[in-house]
Amino acid sequence: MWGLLPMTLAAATGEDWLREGWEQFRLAEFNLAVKAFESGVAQTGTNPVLQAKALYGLAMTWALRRPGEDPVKAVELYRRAIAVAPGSDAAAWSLLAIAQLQHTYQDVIDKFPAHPAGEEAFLFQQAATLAVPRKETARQAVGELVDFLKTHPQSSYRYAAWKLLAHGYQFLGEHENRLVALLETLRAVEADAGAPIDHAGDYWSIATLAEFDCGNFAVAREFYRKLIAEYPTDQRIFLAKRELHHMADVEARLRQ
Amino acid sequence: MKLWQFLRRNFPVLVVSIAYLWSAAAIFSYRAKQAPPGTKVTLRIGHWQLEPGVRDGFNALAAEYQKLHPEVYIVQDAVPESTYSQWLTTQVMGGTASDIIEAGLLSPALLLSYHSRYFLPLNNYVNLPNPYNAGTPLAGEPWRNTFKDGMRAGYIEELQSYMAVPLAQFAYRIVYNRDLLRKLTGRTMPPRNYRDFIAVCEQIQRQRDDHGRPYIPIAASSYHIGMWDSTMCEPLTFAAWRKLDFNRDGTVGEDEFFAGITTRRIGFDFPPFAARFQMLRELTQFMPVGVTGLSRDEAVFLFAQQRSVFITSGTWDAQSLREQARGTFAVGVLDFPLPAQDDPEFGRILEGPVYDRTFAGLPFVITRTCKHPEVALDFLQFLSSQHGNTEFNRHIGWIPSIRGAAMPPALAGYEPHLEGVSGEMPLALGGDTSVKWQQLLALFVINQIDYPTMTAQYLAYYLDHAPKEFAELQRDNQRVTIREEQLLAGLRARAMLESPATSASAWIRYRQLETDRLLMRELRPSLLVKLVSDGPITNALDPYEISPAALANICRQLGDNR
Repeated sequence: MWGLLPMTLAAATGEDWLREGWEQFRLAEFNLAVKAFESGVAQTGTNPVLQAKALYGLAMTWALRRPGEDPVKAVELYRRAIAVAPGSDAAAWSLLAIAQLQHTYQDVIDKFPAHPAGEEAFLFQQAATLAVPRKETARQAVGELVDFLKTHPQSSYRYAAWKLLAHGYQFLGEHENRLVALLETLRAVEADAGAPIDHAGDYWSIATLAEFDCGNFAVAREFYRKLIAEYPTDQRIFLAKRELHHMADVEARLRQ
Repeated sequence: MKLWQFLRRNFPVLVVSIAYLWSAAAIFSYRAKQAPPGTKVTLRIGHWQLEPGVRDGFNALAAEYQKLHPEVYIVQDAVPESTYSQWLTTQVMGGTASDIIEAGLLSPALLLSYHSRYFLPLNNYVNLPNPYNAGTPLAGEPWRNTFKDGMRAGYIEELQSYMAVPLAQFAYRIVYNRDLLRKLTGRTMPPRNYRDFIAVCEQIQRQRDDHGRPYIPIAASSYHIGMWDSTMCEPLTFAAWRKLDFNRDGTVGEDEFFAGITTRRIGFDFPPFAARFQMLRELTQFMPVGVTGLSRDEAVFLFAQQRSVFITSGTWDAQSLREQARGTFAVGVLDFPLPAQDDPEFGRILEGPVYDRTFAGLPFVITRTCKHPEVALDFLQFLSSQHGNTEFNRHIGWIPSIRGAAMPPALAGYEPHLEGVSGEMPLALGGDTSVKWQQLLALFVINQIDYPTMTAQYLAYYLDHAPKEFAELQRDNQRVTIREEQLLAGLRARAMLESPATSASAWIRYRQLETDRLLMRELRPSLLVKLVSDGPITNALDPYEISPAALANICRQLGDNR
């Protein structure tokens, strides 16, 4: 099962073991992943950044393997990774992993404010706040997310932040704001040729929100039409066409 | 002496070793003999479609492909459906799987793990044109857009990856015995609307064959009932969408149906719900007695023996039904006869044509052990080109999956309706409610209980058991999180290990997946949970009702524009 054949074992570098560990992790061969990461930890003694990566991989395996998970051991290993190379990427992701187990997101935000792990910690913190179905906490999260979007114009996590914000507005019943947030979500989507995103659901959500909650028929029409044009076999096409007629009927009735 | 002792001591090991070596040599020499001289690449394609048309289709297209690429030789591994999952599992685990494999006949969770472990993602190719579409209207279009369903059937949401190439589509229709219809009713054309269909069934039911047995208008079994229900009866419930699609995704989920029932926004007295079962009752009276106890083959036997005029069929069965009728009677294909707009019972309830939930099938993947993945990909592109897919489906008699690929003439009548209404009454929530519903439905179908009795009994059971199942559904949602976290950890690691120049794509996929799968996971259902816990609200707006604030806004805009 080993990806690294026996004859190449001696020549395998710490980085090779890391790749092997993650490959076995991906294949859910957790015992083999542990062995590979342990070999990686042993081979990277002189390179703290690489060793922190190996420790992070090992910790992730113990945290996420099923069966046989050991969260206590995982946290110990995450802490070792942080201690070995405190300013490294692996340290940042390790601290986030601890935060996810212990809900200590503020710790990551404070220590790695400009690192993706710090931004993720912020988003998980807001998602946890929004998960509590109370208006006060939802308002608090909405405020935090609005601030984040103002202060992080270049962040790669703007798509996620807009999505959370749209949810917050939905809970608060602020439809106009939700519509803006959903439109911004579409703008914030990162283009990746290798994994195109299906926007049919987004178009439908925007169109129906605009029609039924905001009374913004112009936006509703635009997105029903986009759905029809871009996803001609989508099940909602029939509905989209009907809603286009429905809006025309409503306007005609109101004009009389 | 020493040799003898050695042989005696290691006899079992030696026998196993020799048998293994002999098998390996036999397989190797057999495979080598299969390939004609000059072959540089042998592609093996594994599937469970033993119907003659499918194997012929692969052979014909392989021969055509080999004319273009003489160095490639294509061999089929056609495995019976009953053993396919075991075969697939042993092959992929042993690293001896065919190069191209039909993915399926496994539980969804297992298939997902196989996709992740053993099959190659196609993401890097789906946005590039299929070279075999050159010179056709699809030339230059991204490969995925050349599929009728946008290649959604090959997209694995959990992996955020295009994994499979679906080569055909399926749909249901009614197949009928043209000769028997003419003999019993004098009609040369089948009935086109619901009332005519019922009248024809009544006429058929009144007549007897040479042995004095009554004709059974519709050959059906437990296998066929669902087709009749989902294509004719359930679409009558479409209007529930307007009341129950709380998350506004365009369809009613089981959890939304539960929320609607428990908050009393809807009940079984909702006229479209009652209409669905009224129609089902009307149809089942023309089916064999004890229909729910009959098997698919028994129904096909009734049809083949000319004791029935109508039978439902998926495209996959169409050819075999035609074969069974060959030389005995002529068959025709009939679209499901829907109520006309002026139908006194259902005309106002059915809101449009029925959306054909055509499902793309015959999904083929490339295995990670394939020695020539670029050739395997090329052959799949050949099969999914406009010309290749037309030819392939012409041989197998199924619906092409590629836009503009001509339907086989034998499938005239199976052309899918891509716009229309759908059933919106997902009655069962979990295991217990599902079993209870099936029990009551079976009694209803065989006319042992009526609709009010069935729904009263079910509602009592549902209100008692569904809340627990709803809570379990929320817990299931939590349990799935660990799989998502594993997937994301792997994606994040891949992005971390790649060079900055190549890691951008991996990071994008990671962030998208994390947002949709982890960050939003608990938030989406939380709104429905709140709706359920808030209980009945008598003055709540329906999900698709224009709010007073929205209406005021429209009025204001119209006033401004005057």
